[in-house]
Amino acid sequence: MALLEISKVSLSFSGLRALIDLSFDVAERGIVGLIGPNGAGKSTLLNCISCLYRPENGQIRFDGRDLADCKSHQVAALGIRRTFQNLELFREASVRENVTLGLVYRYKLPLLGELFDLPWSRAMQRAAEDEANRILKSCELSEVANIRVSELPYGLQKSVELARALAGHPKLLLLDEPAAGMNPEESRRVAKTVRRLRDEDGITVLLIEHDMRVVMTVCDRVVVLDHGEKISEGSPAEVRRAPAVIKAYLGDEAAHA
Amino acid sequence: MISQLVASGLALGSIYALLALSLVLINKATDVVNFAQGEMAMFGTFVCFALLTKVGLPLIVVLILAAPVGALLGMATERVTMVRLQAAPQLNALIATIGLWMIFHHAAGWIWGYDPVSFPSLFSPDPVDVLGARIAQNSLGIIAVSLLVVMLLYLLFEYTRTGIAMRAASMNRRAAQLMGVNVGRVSLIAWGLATAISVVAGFLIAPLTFLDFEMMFAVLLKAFAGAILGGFNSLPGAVVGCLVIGVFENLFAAYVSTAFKDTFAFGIIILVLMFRPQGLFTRRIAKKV
Amino acid sequence: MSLDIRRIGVALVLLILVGLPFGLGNYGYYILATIMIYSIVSLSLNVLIGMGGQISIGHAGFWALGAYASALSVVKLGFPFLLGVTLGGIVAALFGALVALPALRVQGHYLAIATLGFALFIQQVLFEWEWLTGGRQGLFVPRPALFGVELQSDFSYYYVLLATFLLLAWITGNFAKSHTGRSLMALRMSTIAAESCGIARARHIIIAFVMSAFFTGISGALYGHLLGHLSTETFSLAVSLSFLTMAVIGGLHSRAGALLGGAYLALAPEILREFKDAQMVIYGITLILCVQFLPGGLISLVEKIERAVWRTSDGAS
Repeated sequence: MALLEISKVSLSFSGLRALIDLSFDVAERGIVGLIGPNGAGKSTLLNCISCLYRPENGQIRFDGRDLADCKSHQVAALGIRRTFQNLELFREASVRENVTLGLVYRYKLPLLGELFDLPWSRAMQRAAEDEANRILKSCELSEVANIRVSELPYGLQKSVELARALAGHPKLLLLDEPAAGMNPEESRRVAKTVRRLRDEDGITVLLIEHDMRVVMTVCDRVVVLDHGEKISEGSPAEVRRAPAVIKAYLGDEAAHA
Repeated sequence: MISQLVASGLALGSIYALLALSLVLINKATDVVNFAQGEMAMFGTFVCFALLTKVGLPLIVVLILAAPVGALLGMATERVTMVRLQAAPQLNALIATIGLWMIFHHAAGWIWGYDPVSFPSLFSPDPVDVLGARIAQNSLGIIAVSLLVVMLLYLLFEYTRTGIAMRAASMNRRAAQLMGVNVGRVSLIAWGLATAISVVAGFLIAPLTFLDFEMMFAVLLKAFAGAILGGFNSLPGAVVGCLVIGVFENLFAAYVSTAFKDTFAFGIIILVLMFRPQGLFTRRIAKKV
Repeated sequence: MSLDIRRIGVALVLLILVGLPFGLGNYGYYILATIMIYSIVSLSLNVLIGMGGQISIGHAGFWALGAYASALSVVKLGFPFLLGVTLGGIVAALFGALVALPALRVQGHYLAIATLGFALFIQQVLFEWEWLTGGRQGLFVPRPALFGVELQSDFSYYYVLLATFLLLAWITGNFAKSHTGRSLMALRMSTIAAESCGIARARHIIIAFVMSAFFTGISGALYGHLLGHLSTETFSLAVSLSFLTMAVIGGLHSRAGALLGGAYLALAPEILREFKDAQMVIYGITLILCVQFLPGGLISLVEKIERAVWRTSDGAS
């Protein structure tokens, strides 16, 4: 049984078919790349997996469990975390606060205890703080921990969003264009980080990416979408040669060249 | 009996509709809801009354001046309050319009006193027989004006450059600006036009209800209810919603309770907001990530 | 900003608050008491609007519920003062949970109208149910009594109110540092991001409304005992709008701001006594000016001065 099973998922928005009968699996500890031209439905699929949208048909199973009735705030507890294409950070807050907010849901503090600052509540808050500091350290963000995220450069902001997602110790990490807006050196670092997350921490990764270097070096398997449909699936090398993929990106002539 | 209630309910509803059109207009163009729209209408109507009594202008002249008075009032208010809030969070603009409500509502009382005054009507007071129901001519006038305004606004938004620019500006300010839309001017025009409409509305309503500083308070709430019912972004929807509110208010007052007929409008608002917040005529809009 | 300077500042303010009544007459005590009562409402709006990003122009409804629930329990059921006040808070809190429901579905102006509707409904019901609220005569409320001892003068009542405000301010501070409070603020900053981190919107919005209503209910209950008499006219739309005004002008993100806001609302009618009719107009104008030029409220002005002073003293050394 694969960790993530997408079965015949379909979704349309007011007549526009965003996802059409989509099926593929993501094996545990796998790194799967989701590629395709703009508007292919990649982010839409991620939104379905993180339960922001509900598919009209088909099923999404995570760790054997059907996600049909899940609300978007419930997937974190199941072990699914994500980053966003346009960054959804807590802009007015510090880096540390962003990361801490990524793990508070796991500390079930009784409200009354918190309101009266009782000792056990304070102890749990400190435990959360310590954990956040550990994550900041492993993501190399300790130096900027107290800076407001809105004041950080774009690359660091992306790191913060990733750190916040990792704070939840996810089983599945959904990354929406982690290398977007990065120069080659930064993209290489992103690729290294993703591989390390899988190799050392055992995290399964599904990532959307346009940077082909990153996709080719990091992904075990690649799924190609175009206009909501899967047009190819396989190893990076296989997919790169597939005529359907070339046609989708470069047009008919290039495919038959 | 029922047909009488329905007929006068429609007349009542069209009063709300005129104000609702102003609300929806500003919202369509600037994504702001002007809480103070009713109070500005009332204030503008008081200005008209002053022109009538202090300056001594004839009624028909004041009628013609009502729209420009409203337009000036709306544009001046927009320049002074809303301009600086364009980039601020939505909450700030909302609070600013609440501040405007407070200013216009109490300034009217402060300047012109708190006693209701009688406002002359354009129409003769004899009611007209329409399909077995008796309706005041004034009410028919209001219905006619409402329909006219809806049509004109619809044409504005669908077919004129200004109207399309307004819709673009309200959907995405930055994008509209990048496309060459002067969003500042759009906001100004929207406020001017909306207030012009609402002052004309006040001019037509005052003969029915007496002119006083409380005149528009209940009207605003029901206009809001009607606009929400119709889906806040739809002009025809707002009109239909208000007509429904007017009819149901009359029926409610006749058969259930007159004391709670104002709060009944809130019942509608709450129900709609809970179960179909986009109203009857618009589609749900969600943020895309 | 050194923690010591801040501590000294807080100690100074506390000293002033404790020492203020001495030398003022009866009327002074009454004004100070009113400041405390309004400041509690301001705190409640800090939680709802400042932290939760919600809006309410219907808080007079919670104020009324607290006032009447408390007064009636004392007068008709013989409850002791403290229990009555607590009951006032609880009744208001229950309605707070109800009002939270539309907030789960809509925001902004829609929510504002829903809260307005709530307040008008409460006012209407209280007006209609004369058998409960005393109709034209209104409801007489006895003086507050602690442990059997009646507090005849507002001088001693002020200290009770001050203690209540400080307690609620302390709780608010704890809330802002707590996981629940910070989750609430996260939801305000980015609902989508917060939910992706496992933070449930519904739960936190309801908590915000319940807390806010609870505080305001307590304030209403305390106010009833201060006035000695309740009439339904006291709880009008103008009051809800004044509450919003004071919270914004004081500062929605600071407890000291809540105190400033309370002072503003209590003192403004005194200062503006000449312009009684224009009072609300002036509130409206200050509200708009504040939102345009000083969105953080008056307290942010104090903080700006603090920072400027700190910077120059650094430069000097």
